[in-house]
Amino acid sequence: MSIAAERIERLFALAKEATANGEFDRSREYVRLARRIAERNRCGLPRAFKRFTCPRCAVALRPGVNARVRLQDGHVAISCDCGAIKRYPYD
Amino acid sequence: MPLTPETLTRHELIGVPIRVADAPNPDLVGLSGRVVSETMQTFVVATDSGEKRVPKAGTTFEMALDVSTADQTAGDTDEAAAAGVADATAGSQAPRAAGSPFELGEDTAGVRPRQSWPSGCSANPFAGGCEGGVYVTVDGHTLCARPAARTERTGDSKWR
Repeated sequence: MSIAAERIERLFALAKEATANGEFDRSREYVRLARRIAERNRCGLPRAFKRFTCPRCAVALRPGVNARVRLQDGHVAISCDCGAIKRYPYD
Repeated sequence: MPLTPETLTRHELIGVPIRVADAPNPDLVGLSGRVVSETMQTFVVATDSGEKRVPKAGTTFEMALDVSTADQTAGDTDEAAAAGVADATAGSQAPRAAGSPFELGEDTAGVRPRQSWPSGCSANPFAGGCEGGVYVTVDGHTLCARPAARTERTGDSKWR
C-alpha cells in the first residue's frame, strides 16, 4: 500500500471522527485533502470513501449524525444534511 | 508503506501527537498536542488550551509514533535493510531515518532519561502510552510543502 493510499485511509478515519464530534468543517478539510492526494497520485479512492462522503459539500457522512440512508428500487440513496444525494447500486 | 520514522516526513501528519522541541519563538517551545490541520508553512496543534498555529520553518518537532506502529517499524526495518534503503539495524533498535529526520527515542527501553517528554508536559495526550512508543525529531524545514504534495518529493518506486 503506497503512502498516498494510506494517507487517504487515515484522513477518512479522521474525517469520520470529526463528523462524529460535530466538527463538520474539519471533516470537509480532511476529505478535500484526501481527494486532492488521490488525484495527484492517480490512486483512486476507496469505495467506502466514495460512498460515505458528500459529493457536494465534501463532509464525511455518518448515518444518524448528518446522513440518512434509504433503500430504494435498485439502489441505496444516502442523503447529506446539505441535500445532496449519493446513490449506489445493490451489489 | 506504514508510518515509520523513514516515511514520517512524507506521510500524513494530521492526527499525530507532536511536541515543539525548539522554535525561534520561545513561547511555542514545549507546546504539545495532536496535529489537527496542516498548511504549507504551518501546523495547527490542538493543545489543552486551544488550537495553536505553529510555523514549520525553523522549528524542531518531536513526533510520537504509537506502539502498534513501532511494531510495524521493526518489520519494516528488515525490509528496508534488505532493499538497501536504510542501514541495517539490530532488531531491538529503532531504525535510523534515511532522510533528514533523526530520532532520539528508542522503542524498547522506554523513555530515555534525557528526554523530558512525559514529565515536561502533563498535557501530552499520550502520557500513558509513552513507553514503547517511538519518538522522531524532525526539522521543520523538511516539512515545508503543500500537504497534498508532501508525499511525492521522493517516490516509493525503485525503478527510477
